[in-house]
Amino acid sequence: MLGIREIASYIPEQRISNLDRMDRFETNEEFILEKIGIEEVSIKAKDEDTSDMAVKAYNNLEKKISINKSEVQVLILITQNPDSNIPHTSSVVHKKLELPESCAAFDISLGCSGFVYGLSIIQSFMESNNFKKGLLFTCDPYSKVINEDDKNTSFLFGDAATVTLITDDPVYISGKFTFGTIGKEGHNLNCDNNILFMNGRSIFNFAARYIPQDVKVLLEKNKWELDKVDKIIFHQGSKFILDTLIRRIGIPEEKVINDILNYGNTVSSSIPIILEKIIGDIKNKCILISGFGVGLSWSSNLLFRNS
Amino acid sequence: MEATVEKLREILSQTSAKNAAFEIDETGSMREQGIDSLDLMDLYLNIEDTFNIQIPDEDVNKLSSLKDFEIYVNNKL
Repeated sequence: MLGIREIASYIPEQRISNLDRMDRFETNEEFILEKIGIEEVSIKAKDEDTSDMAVKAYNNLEKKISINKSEVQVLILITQNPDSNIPHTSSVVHKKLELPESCAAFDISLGCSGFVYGLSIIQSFMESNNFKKGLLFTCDPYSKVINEDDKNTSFLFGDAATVTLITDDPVYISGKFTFGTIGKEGHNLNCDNNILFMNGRSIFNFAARYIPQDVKVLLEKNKWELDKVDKIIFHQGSKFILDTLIRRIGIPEEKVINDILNYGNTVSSSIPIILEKIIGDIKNKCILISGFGVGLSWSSNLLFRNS
Repeated sequence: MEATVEKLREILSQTSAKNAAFEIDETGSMREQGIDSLDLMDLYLNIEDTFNIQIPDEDVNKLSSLKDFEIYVNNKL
């Protein structure tokens, strides 16, 4: 049985403070901390590229667990901000990590739903090819495409990378997944001429309407109950979206993890960054993860602790 | 269902504006009375769901007070 063995992340040290620029955007501390819930966003160094961040996440993984690189059979990178369009950045990461030629490597173009999609894809790919060891990276540095004068996006997004080790000796095993797409609404979160645009109201409406329903579908599909879920990790869009989901689904607040104050919305990295922090807690027998955003797309999954 | 200022206050109270919903002047600008942009976004969503109407982005700027919403929603019903 394949599943998540270990996770590591890399969050750049440099920060941009939202409090320092609240006057410029005509807002206040209470709104930034209590509503958006992001005091500062992480930002990569100018000379640091997507593949560099992925490699740093991998180096952090090696500090936690010994990996024989010659045994890695697949590397998947979730990104929409690659080093360049050609070649795929997973190939660059493959080179920098000196992985074997027998290792498959490909990118997946997805945003905030990417980690959950990626988890399903890498496990299915490995299972169908009888692979035992794979690496799932997320790295989408939005600082490459953010207009710093755009309050709708520059307050929210931070840079980060993660890597998840998938093996046949897992700590967490996936239950059934849900997926969905509303392509006709995709223009509400897009990138033209290398500048990110977000219609905040449309994205909020999408999350508030679709994710509560998706949680119900996910539980039904897995024949599981919300009471038996120990922790919930929603994509960390903003504190406001998390608070809205808590209220609309009717979940005890303590089950839902909020962890964006010091680095912001890190797109497809937001879920694995949190998962890394709680993966060692044996009390968490079942964790619900749900990613949603660009596309507009979503995907959710239940992770069960392997006993 | 008819939109009334009372019903709209109740809907606004379901956002994080909570108690302020019952204290604001119905004819005054909600923004100027401390209801922030995110609470308003939540209010639009809850009004759309409650009355089964759509409030396009281009109409949002025309709506400032609870009274504005009462008239707007009833015209849509």
